[in-house]
Amino acid sequence: MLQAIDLTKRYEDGILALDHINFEVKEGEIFCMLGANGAGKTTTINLFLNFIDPTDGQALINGIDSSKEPLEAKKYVSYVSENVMLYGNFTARQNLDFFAKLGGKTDMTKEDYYAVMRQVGLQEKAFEAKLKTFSKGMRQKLGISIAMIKDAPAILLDEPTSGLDPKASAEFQKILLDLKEKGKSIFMSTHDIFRAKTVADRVGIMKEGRLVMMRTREEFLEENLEKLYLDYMQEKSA
Amino acid sequence: MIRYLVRKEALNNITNFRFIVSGLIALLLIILTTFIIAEKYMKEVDQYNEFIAADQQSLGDIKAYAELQLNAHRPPNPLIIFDSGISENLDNSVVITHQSVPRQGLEADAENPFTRIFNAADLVTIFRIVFSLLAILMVYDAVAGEREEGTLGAALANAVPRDSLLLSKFIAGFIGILLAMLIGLLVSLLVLQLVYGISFSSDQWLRIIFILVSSLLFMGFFLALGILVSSRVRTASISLIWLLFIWVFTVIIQPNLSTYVGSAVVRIPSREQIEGAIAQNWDEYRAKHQELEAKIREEVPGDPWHTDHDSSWPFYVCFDGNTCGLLRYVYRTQRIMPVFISYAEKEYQVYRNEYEVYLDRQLAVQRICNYLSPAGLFRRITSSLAETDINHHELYMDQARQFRSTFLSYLTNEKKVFSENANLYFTQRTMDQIIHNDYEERLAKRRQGVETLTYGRDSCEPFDLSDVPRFSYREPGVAASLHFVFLDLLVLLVLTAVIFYLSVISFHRYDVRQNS
Ligand SMILES: Nc1ncnc2c1ncn2[C@@H]1O[C@H](COP(=O)(O)OP(=O)(O)O)[C@@H](O)[C@H]1O
Ligand SMILES: [Mg+2]
Repeated sequence: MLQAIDLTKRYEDGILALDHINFEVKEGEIFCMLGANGAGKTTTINLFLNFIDPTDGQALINGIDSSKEPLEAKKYVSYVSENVMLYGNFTARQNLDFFAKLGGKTDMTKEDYYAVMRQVGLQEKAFEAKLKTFSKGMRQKLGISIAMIKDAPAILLDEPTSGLDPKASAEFQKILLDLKEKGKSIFMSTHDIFRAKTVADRVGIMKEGRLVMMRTREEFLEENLEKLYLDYMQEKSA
Repeated sequence: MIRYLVRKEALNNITNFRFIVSGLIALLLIILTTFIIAEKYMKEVDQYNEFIAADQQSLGDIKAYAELQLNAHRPPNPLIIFDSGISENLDNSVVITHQSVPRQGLEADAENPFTRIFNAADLVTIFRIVFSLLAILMVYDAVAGEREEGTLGAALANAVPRDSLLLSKFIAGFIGILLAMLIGLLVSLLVLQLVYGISFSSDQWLRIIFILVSSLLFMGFFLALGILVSSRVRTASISLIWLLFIWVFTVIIQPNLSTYVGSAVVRIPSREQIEGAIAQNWDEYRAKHQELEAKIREEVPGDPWHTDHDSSWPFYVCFDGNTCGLLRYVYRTQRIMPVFISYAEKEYQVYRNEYEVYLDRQLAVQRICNYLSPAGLFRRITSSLAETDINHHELYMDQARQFRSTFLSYLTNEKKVFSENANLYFTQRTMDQIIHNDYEERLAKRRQGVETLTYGRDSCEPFDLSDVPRFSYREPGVAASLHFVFLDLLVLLVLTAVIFYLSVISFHRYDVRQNS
């Protein structure tokens, strides 16, 4: 569903942010990309969303090259950014309504919106409150509910739990597994090894633009993922 | 898709405090302006009615054709409320006489009276200055602002064509401006109707609609410009600074710049030069006059002393002296007056060649420069639609000149004032009475103490002037007014389209990520 083939990005200033990355996320699979700040996780996601053009390689969504047919490709993907930003003048429901329509869901009712907001654990009183009064955690939740409403087969999550409190984080984990259950392909970038270990079907470790390690669930459960991660990180300074 | 995008933009605009406030300010300005100009218009109407009544009255008391002069009044134009144009600078009444050709008076410093430097406060000026700012306020953050907010990426993570996104911002801005304008216009029209009882003809309604449409086109230009600039920069504040800078140049400086370029490129001859040329014309005439006058004195010799007469020229209706003087007047009217008339017409030609031609050239240069100035184009378009521009003034002056020809032909061909009936130019005495010299007879009577002055102005009947031609201004019709500015409209449309197209191109290359 999501596939990176020799995906490479060199920014205009010469930084090689991605160096021939290859991976695939199948239906019903959660792929967690671990990596330090600046490893290239967001760059990867931006390539899938065609926010930037690849220097080389392809980012495929449902087999569609997102740099060649971005509009077609984006029909099959939902996205939650690292720092969800929505329209401050609009209420949560109005935001949800707008993005649902952009996502092609034009027949949603107020009840549908409320239901999904409840599902992500947003308080009732926030449903009709203006977004500018929201905390980062609340925005993050609404961002997730937007992704859920769109109901696309692939989901890109860029450090979605940053800013969520532990309780919300746990709720989010449930939602993730729920989505996986529904057959969604989920790509999630994160620092959070603990979370990755509990939900991921596969884990990749990214370092300075290269995918230095990839493990299936069976594999990383046998090994010590934390140690592996730390080793790879330290290798950098070595 | 566009529908949802537009709805979101519109919702965003409605919930935006700054639009509500600036919209209210604009509305207040419109109301204020409506009152001010409506007052002015009502005064003009009163004055016009007074003029017409006075003209009518004076026509009933003409006893010699030399007394007959008509006026050509242009009726007051309620559309000055929309665009006053150059109406402030110009007269709406000209005197029609065979002795001179109507023309725009020479301004004190021979400046071009047809150019506008200062803007009268009218609705279109409010549109141009206030609403264009409003348009900028609506879109300056369209792209850069949403990028900063992070919402641009959120929206474009969906299958949203970038063109649609841009177009929706344009359309929403357009709807916002349209609503604000319609409300302003409606309130203004209500004030005109209810407070002043001013109503419009169907032709004028069409003009108002076209003024609205061209105002919207002008707003479209600023919306497109705002979107373009905001898709060229990274932050809304930089976008706003650029736009305000461009706005000052486009709306304030540029229109006057083309006026300035016009007067710098084409110099208008000095007042002395023009007056010199005109004086030369009359010097020529004076020589001819002396020649003809000498001939008349040769033909009608004698000493035209007279003891008494009723006031001064042209009322030589009683003449208690030697009639050789009267006969000379007849000959002067027959022979010198036509020459005088031809020199009056020559004077107009001199004026045209020495002054108006330069004005026209200056205006032509201004018009060419104007094609690069959206605000200048807009001003030309609306003042043409409101009939307050130079072209419509010229139409009026042309009609006045045509009317003078009609009037002249009435005097010459119908009344034969400069031929058989030359006596009627200054007296109601018949030619027989004038030619017959009864001086001795009268002198004898007078010595006996009999009053001989029997023929005064008061004793004459006024002429029946029911057949005299009357001036009535023929409205050019909205099609003619549009024709004048067709190219301007086209250029403004193309400018707007080009700028919008550029913004689409620019946005396609735009990096939508919040943190970059
Ligand atoms: N617009 C940009 N221009 C130049 N370099 C960039 C840009 N965006 C990211 N980078 C660089 O690319 C590398 C990867 O960044 P990023 O993908 O944001 O990392 P991560 O999301 O894993 O923290 C970093 O070195 C970063 O500095
Ligand atoms: Mg990142």
